[in-house]
Amino acid sequence: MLKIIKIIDDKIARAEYFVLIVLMVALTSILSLQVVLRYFFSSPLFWAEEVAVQIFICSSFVGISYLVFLGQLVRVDFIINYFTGKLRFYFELILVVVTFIVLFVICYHATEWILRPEIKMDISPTTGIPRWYNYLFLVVGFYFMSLHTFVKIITLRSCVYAGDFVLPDSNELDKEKDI
Amino acid sequence: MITALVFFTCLLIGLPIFITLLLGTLTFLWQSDLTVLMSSLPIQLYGSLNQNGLLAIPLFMLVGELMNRGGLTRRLMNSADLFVGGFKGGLAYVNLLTNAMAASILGSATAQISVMSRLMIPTMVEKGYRKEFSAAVTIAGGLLGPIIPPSMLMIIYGVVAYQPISELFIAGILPGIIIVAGFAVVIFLTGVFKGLPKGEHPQHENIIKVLLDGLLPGSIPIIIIVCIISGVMTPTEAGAIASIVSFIIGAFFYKAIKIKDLPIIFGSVAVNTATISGLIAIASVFGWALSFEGIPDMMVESITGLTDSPIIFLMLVYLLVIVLGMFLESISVMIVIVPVILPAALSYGVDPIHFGVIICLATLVGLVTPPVGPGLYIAMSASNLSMGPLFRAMIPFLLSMLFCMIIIAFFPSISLWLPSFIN
Repeated sequence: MLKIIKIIDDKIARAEYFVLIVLMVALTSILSLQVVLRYFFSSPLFWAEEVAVQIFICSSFVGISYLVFLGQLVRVDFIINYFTGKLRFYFELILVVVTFIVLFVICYHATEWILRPEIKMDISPTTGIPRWYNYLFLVVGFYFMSLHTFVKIITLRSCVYAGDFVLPDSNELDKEKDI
Repeated sequence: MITALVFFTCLLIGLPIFITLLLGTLTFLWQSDLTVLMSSLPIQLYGSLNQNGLLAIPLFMLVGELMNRGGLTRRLMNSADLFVGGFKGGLAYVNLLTNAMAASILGSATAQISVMSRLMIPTMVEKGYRKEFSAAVTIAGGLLGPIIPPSMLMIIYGVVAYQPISELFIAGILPGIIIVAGFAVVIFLTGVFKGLPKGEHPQHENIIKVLLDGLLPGSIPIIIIVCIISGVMTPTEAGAIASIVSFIIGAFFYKAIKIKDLPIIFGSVAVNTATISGLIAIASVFGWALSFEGIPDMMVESITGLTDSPIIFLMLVYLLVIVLGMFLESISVMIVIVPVILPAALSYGVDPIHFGVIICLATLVGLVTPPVGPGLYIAMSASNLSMGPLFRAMIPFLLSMLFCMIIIAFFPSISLWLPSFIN
């Protein structure tokens, strides 16, 4: 079961990385095209900046979720680095549990928020498309952050049962990418 | 009080800053009986990123990434070598000048220290420079990244403080030059009192080619600055043009960027951007929550009660930001502190553009001061030095930086003279 959950987690992280690349290509293409059209053809895209900002926001939340998967969110680690062995392991476990609880609370409020009628009715002024699809990236991003954190918890828990107090490497996907 | 306790405890025990700020916000809302506002958290998170100015961040990161992959640093080093390589301690000056040139492309101190440490420290050690000194020069040079435009910190300040990013970019140029001069004096004095290896006159076979190689990437910051200063383009548009130009240079002139590299480049830009934008979003929400209880007003009152002098106020700001920067991540410090302190700065008659330069400079010191100095850690891992010797070697450069910061605080025209041409 743990193996299946980990595979799903990995697949989601891969999908996030792919989405991030697509969003970044779209963002830079739109803005570059906008500059070319404005200065060389005097016909700028009226929707370019708003769509670019929406892409930026989407990529931010997908990116944060991917960073959670990689375990690369910025943190102050000069105290925790003094701990080793079992103590360090349990410390990390507590931090991951706290992270999961905080993310779970945000998921609850984000779900409540996105289901509000006024949020569903919100329309983008330049494209005329509902903003709901854009807000969804925030909510889904937090759900994926929670999932990645949950997988970390059960991975650490399985290590406790196995009596193996070595912190698992969470960056396997990143290593593959580097290769 | 409870919020502060939760915040600092979670921060120091190693909870990610993103989660720490979220938890701090939730605790504060709960403690202040403002739980009704929790349902507004998502829209605040969304709204804090819904700003056109932030689009410049991924674009300038892309420029840095493209130029880095295109072998920028080695080419810049070779051209800097032509100018200053022959002096006593020449390689230290080459390091500094290369850093100054790279700063006008990379825009981030940690990125710059990371790139330059791998290149410069082994080269300097090989030529007989002490490892501590080599690492210290490299870190000091890396600090120029967020001062000389384009600068990620300036973009973030501009967005948080609602100030024009173009003016902030230009405002950083003269302070950047003064700091480079200050660091050059430190290298000179080190050469005089402690001795540095003699410089070697460059033996490049084709001087014209080396110069051209350096001039091509050098054209990017010129494009950015000229376009912004002439008002032809916004910083975001200048970033878009610069990324097209850097791709053309990297792919067609240097032939170092292949199409298959692009997914990795874009992936890296996206992940690095998310690191910054996540902090911006969450720190803005934390500031929003604090404002409901009038915390910023209380801080302004307590600061303004301490002194009537704008200069002493700026010195207090330096002190506060440097101390916070010793424990917190630099971007978080800026995002949390600016909305709180900017109203006080305005009440003292401090120009907001000048204040942006002051905040950026103070934030930079935190990057290289223990216990939380990412710049130090990067150079430590690249040089296998421990923190003590490295920080001791950094002290002359830090003193020079602090001296320059005081001069810049005393003379606002250093920051404001060039932006006055935009107006």
